[in-house]
Amino acid sequence: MYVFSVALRHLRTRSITWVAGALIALVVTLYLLIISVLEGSKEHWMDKLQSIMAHASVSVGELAGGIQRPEPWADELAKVDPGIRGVTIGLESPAMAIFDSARTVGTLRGIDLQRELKYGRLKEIMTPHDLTEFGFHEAGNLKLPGCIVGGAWRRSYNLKIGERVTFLFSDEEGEARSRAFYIIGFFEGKNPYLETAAYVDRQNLAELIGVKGQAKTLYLWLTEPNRPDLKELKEKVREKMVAIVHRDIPEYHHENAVIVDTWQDKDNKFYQAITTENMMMRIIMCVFLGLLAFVMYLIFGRLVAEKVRDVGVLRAMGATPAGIRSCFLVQALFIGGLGLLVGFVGSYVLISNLNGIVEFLAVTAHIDLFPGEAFGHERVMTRTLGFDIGIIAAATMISAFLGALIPALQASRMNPVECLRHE
Amino acid sequence: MSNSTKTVEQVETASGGRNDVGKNSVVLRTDSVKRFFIDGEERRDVLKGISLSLRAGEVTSLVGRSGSGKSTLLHLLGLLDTPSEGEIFIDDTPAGNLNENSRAFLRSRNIGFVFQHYFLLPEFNVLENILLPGKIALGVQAWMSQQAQYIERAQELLSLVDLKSHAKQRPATLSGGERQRVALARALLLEPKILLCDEPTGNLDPETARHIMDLIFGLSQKRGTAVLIVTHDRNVSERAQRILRLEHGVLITDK
Repeated sequence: MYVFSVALRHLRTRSITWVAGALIALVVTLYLLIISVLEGSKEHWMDKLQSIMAHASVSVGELAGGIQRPEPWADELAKVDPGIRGVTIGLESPAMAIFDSARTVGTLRGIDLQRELKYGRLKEIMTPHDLTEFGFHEAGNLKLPGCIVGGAWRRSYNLKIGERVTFLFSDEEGEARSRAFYIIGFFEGKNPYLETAAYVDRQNLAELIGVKGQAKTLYLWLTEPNRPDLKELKEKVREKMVAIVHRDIPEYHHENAVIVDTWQDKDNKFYQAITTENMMMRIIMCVFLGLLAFVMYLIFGRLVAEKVRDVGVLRAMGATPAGIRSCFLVQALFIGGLGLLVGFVGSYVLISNLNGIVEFLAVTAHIDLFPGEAFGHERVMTRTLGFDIGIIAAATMISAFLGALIPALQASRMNPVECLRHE
Repeated sequence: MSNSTKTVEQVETASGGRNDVGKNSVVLRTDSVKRFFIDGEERRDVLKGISLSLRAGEVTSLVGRSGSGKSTLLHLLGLLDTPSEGEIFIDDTPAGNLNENSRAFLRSRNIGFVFQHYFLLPEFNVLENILLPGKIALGVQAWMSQQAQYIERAQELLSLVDLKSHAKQRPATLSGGERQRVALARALLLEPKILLCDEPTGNLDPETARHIMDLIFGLSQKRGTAVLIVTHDRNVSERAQRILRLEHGVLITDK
């Protein structure tokens, strides 16, 4: 009982212990704030990368004629793993887009709109949201197939729904072809590069290009794109696709013709850079916590030196060495816990109001804490992971404990007679 | 100085109830206790075979020059230190060479200390200082269930030392005499069989010193506590029933 009384009473009367608590709160707040901003930024970038592109793509070499039986193969691949939300079918061709006033290069993407709306993310990024088919539309005396155009073109050429766009492309024989489309909608891909494209009906495009198969790529959409076993899933999908090709095109046995790419493969360097940056920051912050343990050691060393006589008196009254040790350790853990709590509250308040604070600083002090060009987005994105809360909580308590351990051991090993004679 | 392997449970059995011994029965005894310190290759003998006994209800003073070994003997009797040779018995139970925890256990239940410099904990108020030995001796559960009794007892002790109105004050706001009375009340909370006082009046004016000694003598008589007072003050030593004189680590007279 006295352990808690002594520990907490020391805490109340020794301002130096509050310094330790305040330092812990500061480090916890900084850790959660910085890591949350970095994770928020990472999530935003991932969102950009995954906004249009599927989480994995499967293609079969041209010698085998590409994806010859798109629908059944897509349905079979969807059953490979319960984490596959669905499989969409794609046919892509580089093209030149010709508008009334300008021309530009980009990509024509043939898709099955129904599948795309069911499994992909097109519905989230498309306006109007209720489009269900490309159809054919009256344009003067012509009936033109519908297309959904990327936001980058819409912004650059001030395009509107109902306008015409003509695409110039080459077919499988290398012959130049052109086709006019009717703009029925737009999509915002978040990534300007991916927005220089237009979606059209896949079968329509297949006829125009004259491909042997009706698709070139199958796109896998996952329930959890960041799943840790993405590489294993990739291998499972590849094995399944090889088996399908072997079964359905027995004359074609070349395993390497099946290529599976995950979103991590495509953007691996960028993804790894962001992940490494975030991990490095975690390590740096944990080093700060290590320094905090050293500060705790200094503070508790001083506290023990101040309390030599009290240790002697407590021992004279019957306190055991373990009891003395516990007095200081409980005190350290209490400081750690209190600092942690204040840090959690502080970081929550800061993170919740971060954009307001950033704007306030920008307006009043002309300090741009989060330049949009550097972070790739205008508002500060944050994401606090349970992992980080767990890490900081454990590291703080361990630091507080370890910092106080040596002084506490020294206090418990003091000779009570020498303590009572201490001047 | 080998530590005994006696368990706390055995010691607890030996410690028995508080003040359940008859007056004049021996509550603490030493048998040829020696204490020496090794300093490099030199051995310094501080106590050279001390045999004494303290009886219930008796006040004994221990006098001698500075460096004669009085405080060392007091610390040994209080089980704060272990003898180099010999044994210390509390109620006939060998206690001097027990391990740290067992000695702490015996100390908390049998021995009260009053120091020259009071040694009150500055962060605690008067009442909390007095309650500390109870908190140390009892576990959390026992303390929670018996807390009210101990607070009542602490209040009684505060009345006894005439400090009831000072219960919520911090030690820093008290005079030397008041602090020593608080220290005395603290030492008596658990009704120890033995009260060891190290120069209890050393920092007090004669009038306050006399008042403190009145309290100690009265308590010894009333409660049957064996009291040992280390002192340089002749007025104090001559009031005791027995006077032990220590010179160069040897007990010279016992009268």
